[in-house]
Amino acid sequence: MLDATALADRTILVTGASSGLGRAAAVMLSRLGARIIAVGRNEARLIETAEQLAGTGHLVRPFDLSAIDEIPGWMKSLSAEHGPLRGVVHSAGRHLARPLQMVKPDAVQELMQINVTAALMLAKGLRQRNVFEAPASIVLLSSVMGQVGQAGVSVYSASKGAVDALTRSLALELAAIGIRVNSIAPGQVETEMAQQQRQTLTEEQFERIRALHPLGLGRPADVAHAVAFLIADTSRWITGSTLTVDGGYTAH
Amino acid sequence: MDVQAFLAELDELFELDPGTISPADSIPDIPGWSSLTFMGLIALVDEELGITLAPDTILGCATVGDLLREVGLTPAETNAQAA
Ligand SMILES: NC(=O)c1ccc[n+]([C@@H]2O[C@H](COP(=O)([O-])OP(=O)(O)OC[C@H]3O[C@@H](n4cnc5c(N)ncnc54)[C@H](OP(=O)(O)O)[C@@H]3O)[C@@H](O)[C@H]2O)c1
Repeated sequence: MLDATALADRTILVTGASSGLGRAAAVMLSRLGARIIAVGRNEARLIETAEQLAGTGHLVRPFDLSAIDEIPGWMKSLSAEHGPLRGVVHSAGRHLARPLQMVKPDAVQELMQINVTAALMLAKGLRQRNVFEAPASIVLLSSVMGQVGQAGVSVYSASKGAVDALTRSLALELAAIGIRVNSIAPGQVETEMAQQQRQTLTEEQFERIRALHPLGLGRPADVAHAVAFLIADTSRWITGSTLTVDGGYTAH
Repeated sequence: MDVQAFLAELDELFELDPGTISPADSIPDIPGWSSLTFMGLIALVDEELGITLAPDTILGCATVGDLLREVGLTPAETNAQAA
């Protein structure tokens, strides 16, 4: 059951905790008793998140995940200092809206690095001896764009399709050592990323997107509840799956 | 970025021959004008000039010259630079 002790004494690393869905997830997990290691690049914004967390003992650890080679070693030192991790939520990510003629290889590389490669390296980091304690759970933030297409969003879509595929193979590889791996595919949620996207749309285009969500646009807490379910033992028999949380967007 | 360079980027975005788009052109009549090139135009202004243009500002521009003025490039500069 998900109550205030569901995650008591469990340390959960949350990337992208400085904003949007990562911040909402960190807050939700803390209310269930988890100790949060809040990760992102912007320290001031991570501290803002920490101030919203329930309970004590949380940590703010600024880190640039584009230094992918360093991720496993960094996780090893985190766990040496603060004890083994019981879960990782990867909510750090980037969005890109570009017509194909404007897509540049460098931008593809950068986006794939944080959305996909960092996810893989976080799993690689977690599976090391003494870094995790079973049962553990990894939740990767994917998107409905990994399941359906949208013109101008091909790079982002490809990265999210990769996240869902990664989830399945990682789940099989890590099941034997007690690590579950699942992804969440949100529809449009009102966060900073959504705000940035909105700046590229006319009122009419935005209304069309809103209309494609039968239950309206999502709130960060809608996704955070799904994260909590997948991190906690409530989902102990679920691995390798993608949980769609989209207000009906992909039901069409 | 000067006016000429910006116009050249526009030609590339709309996949027109270099030198096709000029300040007097009506924006909605540029061949290839669509919601996708619209998205590309916002990205272009953001990446090249560091300016976040509101979509409705673009819709308010009748000509390419109006757009140039919105992003702080005046067609007159072209002549100054060419001279
Ligand atoms: N919002 C939506 O509607 C929506 C819908 C579907 C899927 N998603 C997915 O959900 C996830 C979170 O989205 P969001 O809306 O919360 O986005 P957001 O508000 O833009 O937050 C993105 C987060 O990623 C972190 N980040 C980016 N690059 C990083 C790097 N190199 N190293 C460390 N941290 C980095 C940022 O932290 P710093 O700036 O501090 O580094 C920030 O906390 C993303 O994967 C996104 O694709 C969002």
